[in-house]
Amino acid sequence: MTRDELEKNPFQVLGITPTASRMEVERAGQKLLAQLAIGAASAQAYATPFGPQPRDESLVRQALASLRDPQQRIVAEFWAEVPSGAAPAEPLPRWHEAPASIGWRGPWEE
Amino acid sequence: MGGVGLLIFILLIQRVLAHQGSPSGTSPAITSFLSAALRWALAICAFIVLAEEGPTWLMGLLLLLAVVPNLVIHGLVIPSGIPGLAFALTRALRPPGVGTENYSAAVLNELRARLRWGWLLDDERLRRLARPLRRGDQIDAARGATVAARATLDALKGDFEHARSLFELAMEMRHSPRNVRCYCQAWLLADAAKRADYVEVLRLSWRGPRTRRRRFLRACAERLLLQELHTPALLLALWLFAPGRRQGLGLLRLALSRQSAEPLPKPAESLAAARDVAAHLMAPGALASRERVRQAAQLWQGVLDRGELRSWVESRAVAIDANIDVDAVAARVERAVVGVLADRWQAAPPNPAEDEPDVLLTAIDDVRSRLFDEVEQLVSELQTGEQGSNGETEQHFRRWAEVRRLMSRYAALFPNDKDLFYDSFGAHVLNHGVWLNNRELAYSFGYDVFRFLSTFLDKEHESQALLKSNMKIAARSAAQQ
Repeated sequence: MTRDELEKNPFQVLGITPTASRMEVERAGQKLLAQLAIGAASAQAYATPFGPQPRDESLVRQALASLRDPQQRIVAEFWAEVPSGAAPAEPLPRWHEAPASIGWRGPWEE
Repeated sequence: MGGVGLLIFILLIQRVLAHQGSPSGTSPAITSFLSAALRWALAICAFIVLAEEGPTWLMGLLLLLAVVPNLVIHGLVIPSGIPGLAFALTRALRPPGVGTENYSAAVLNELRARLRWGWLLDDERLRRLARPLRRGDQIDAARGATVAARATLDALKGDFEHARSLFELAMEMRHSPRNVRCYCQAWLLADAAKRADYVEVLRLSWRGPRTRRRRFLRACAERLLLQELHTPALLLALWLFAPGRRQGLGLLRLALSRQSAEPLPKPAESLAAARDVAAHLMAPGALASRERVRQAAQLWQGVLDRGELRSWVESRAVAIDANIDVDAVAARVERAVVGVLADRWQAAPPNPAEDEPDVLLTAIDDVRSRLFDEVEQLVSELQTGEQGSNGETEQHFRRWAEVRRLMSRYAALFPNDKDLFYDSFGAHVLNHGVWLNNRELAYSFGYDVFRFLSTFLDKEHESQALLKSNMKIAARSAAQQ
């Protein structure tokens, strides 16, 4: 399990609760695909435990495919119950001037 | 007149020696003599010119500065950032005895000078500047400056992963001048602090040359990680004495804004709480001390022992009317948790403790086997025995730098497992050192292999005698290069 997987939890991508029925899952997925197709602003992002993330069609299709497999669905259910904002990002601050402090004013991009 | 004559005479000798094939073939005694004689000649010239009346004092002063080349290059030329000057002066002011390595030092200094203002750093110009490093493909001449120059070029290309291992190698090589080692350490510290990886800052600050920059960054990292709340007065004093004060002020402010340790919340003994704690550990840049990882592991151990996870999976399978392998799904979640614990344990500052929960021991084993696999793959690529040389200096020291970095990481994480690690890979690495020494005549790298293995092992280890004698041979050979 990585942070990326937690952020892309299918239930959170589809914006539904882990107790949603199969029908509700399909409906939510199709509704989101339609909204994304017309560029609806409300469908562009979804909530995760680490804050909002951008949503696109491939992510929605992936989420639908995962929830059709019962084993994957139960694993997703487990992590989907982490409430949004329950794991707030508390990043340690970066020292942005670090390269300049060693006299490095050239490109510094990984 | 006498001084000028002497100077011309010495420069002529240098020219003649430099054209006698490889300059590395010059005996160290001649090199030392020439170096000292050159400085004396320059000093005499400087004093004669200074003693004369008229506007020649500037010339005299310049000659006097040439007597202390490192001071001039590192104190004046590199900070000025004038393109071309650092390269030319490094070549002119240093004796030819270290041969092609002199080119590498010139390239490194020139790169550092250009980086001061970000001038002339396009691909074509860098390629042209790096051309003299090709001479370093005669591996016998490549040392710390060559490695550091290559690392800088990698970093400029955005290949930070390779740059890090090369900088680490150059920082710890014995055949690296102090100014190169300090530069490499400063780069590594800056890189870690820029990524907010203060655990790495701490790890680096225990190694390499002891500098004021290192002390300042270590104190800031300790405060940011809430390991030790240094007083503002101490941090201020360290900042005042460290180089790069203007930029360092930002880090000082960050460290001072970190006031006290957040109290660890006492989670409930439940599956939901265990899950939320695991999610907490995954939060981007979250501060995960080993204490916190251990607390999460204990919570999970309780959940697993009580069978709560399995019961939950079973109940959900019934709820959604699915025919699934309950144990397989529970095991999948457990593996995910072990993965989270392993990642966070590896990234947390070391703080050994006894009686770790089983689930954390599994996570630690996970880290160990992952590292083992990585090292095994890399070590198997090291050349040994009768394998022929391909004459590619760069390949050799790049591969060794990666192996060295991983082995250092392993030793830092598992200090009690060094012997086991040595038993698995030590012989092959040792043979690679011998191969570098005998087949490639790469004495400085061979020496580094032996020295690294020697520091890796306990002082009483049976292989120490062999390593020490190999070190002596390699050091003697390197001195004669």
